[in-house]
Amino acid sequence: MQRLRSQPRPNWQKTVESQGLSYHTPDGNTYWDESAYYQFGSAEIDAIEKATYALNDMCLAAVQRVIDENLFPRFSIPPQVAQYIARSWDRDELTIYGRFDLAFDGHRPPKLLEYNADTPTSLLEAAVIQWHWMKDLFSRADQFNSIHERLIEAWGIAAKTMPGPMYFTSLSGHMEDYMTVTYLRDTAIQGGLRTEYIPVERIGWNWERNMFVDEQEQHIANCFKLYPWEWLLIEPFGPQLLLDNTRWLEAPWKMLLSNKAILTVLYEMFPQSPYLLPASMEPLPAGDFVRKPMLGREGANVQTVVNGNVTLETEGDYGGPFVYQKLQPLPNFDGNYPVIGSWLVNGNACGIGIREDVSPVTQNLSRFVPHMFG
Amino acid sequence: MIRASRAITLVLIGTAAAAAPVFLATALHPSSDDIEDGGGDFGPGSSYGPTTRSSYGSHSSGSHYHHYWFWGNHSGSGYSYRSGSGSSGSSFSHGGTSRGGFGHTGHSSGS
Repeated sequence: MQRLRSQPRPNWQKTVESQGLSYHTPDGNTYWDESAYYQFGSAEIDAIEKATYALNDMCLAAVQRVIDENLFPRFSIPPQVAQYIARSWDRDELTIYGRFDLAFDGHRPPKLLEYNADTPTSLLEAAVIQWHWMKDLFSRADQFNSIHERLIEAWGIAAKTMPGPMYFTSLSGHMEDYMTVTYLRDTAIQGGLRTEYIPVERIGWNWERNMFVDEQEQHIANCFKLYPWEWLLIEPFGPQLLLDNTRWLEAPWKMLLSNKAILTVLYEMFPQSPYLLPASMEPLPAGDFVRKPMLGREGANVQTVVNGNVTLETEGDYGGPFVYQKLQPLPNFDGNYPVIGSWLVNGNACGIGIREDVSPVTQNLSRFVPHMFG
Repeated sequence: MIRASRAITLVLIGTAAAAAPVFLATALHPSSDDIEDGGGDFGPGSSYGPTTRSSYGSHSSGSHYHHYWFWGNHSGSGYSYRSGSGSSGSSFSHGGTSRGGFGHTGHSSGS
């Protein structure tokens, strides 16, 4: 694993915009960064792939345990929502995608930092933009990347089991969110689905028909939401979700995996796994650790504790409950700290995207840097 | 994982890019009617009915503390909204269609 410098393509902004990446330089800050790239060896890619499959297997076992042993209070999930989750799990409801964030230095096994199982973004960059970058500059190289094909395949399965149009929804006014769902719609269309877009604020509830409806009063029977479960459930339409007459993607059971309390369940179940770090709902008794909000996002309100002292604390609006995880130092490439986002689509490990920062905590403005191998 | 010969086809992205000005105007700058039309579906004094289309609260910011208070302290004791009251002091009226029941965070949703 190496970080190498590269000359950005002439007029790269126009190029990536034509491929849908309109948010490459938000507020003047570089997000898509092709002034560098990461080069891997095949064995390193194999190690990431193997870890991703193993982590998925462990996560599915952990969901089963949470349901069987009623561990929902640890996740601050009340009984009504627990029943909703359990029904979704028992129906084996479909999942499209998720992204494991891994610490990996190319030598030791990748370590799971967190699982973005509900609303992962940086998808278009990983699936499309970095692929075109590589073909433009290193046409004979390869990339760990079949995300696009796997998405089309996953939607093809959805088309068979979820009849009618698939709605896609996200919060108005957020370009990255909109382009992420637009890209997912693109792959869904190619997978054989009829699709519609509706801003999440425009979803209606029809009191007489007891169902979610679009702006033409059509029943929203199936909906992909780029809007977290924990927000949906606390908002005014939350109770209507529990009536359970819309099939949502990601499925309700994924809210267990996107909650950082899952890290504690995983470690309890698989303490010998080379891919897991010690994690607890209480501060770790020994060693350095990271404190993360249970439902935090984009590295907000993360605190690192070294030798009993707080050495780093990021800003944000998130409070507790918190999860405490052993501190895993990220590799440092000339002052840049990369995190590997390993994509899982329909159960297939199918590609990576790399975010890096000058801070050891990856946040919402951390740069996306392409990769290649071979 | 090797996809040296793969060709990525996009059927929608190109269309969206071509229509960028329209798309941007719609997605990033909802009409003022969308944001506030007398309080919205769930605000105090709001009206309910099939034609009310409001995004009450969706463009405000910073509701996380409330959000965690709700999840953290109410777990196991039942959600208050279960009885028909919303998390922001809203109330539901039956009949017709209500909108604006989602989208109250005002934050980007990705992770």
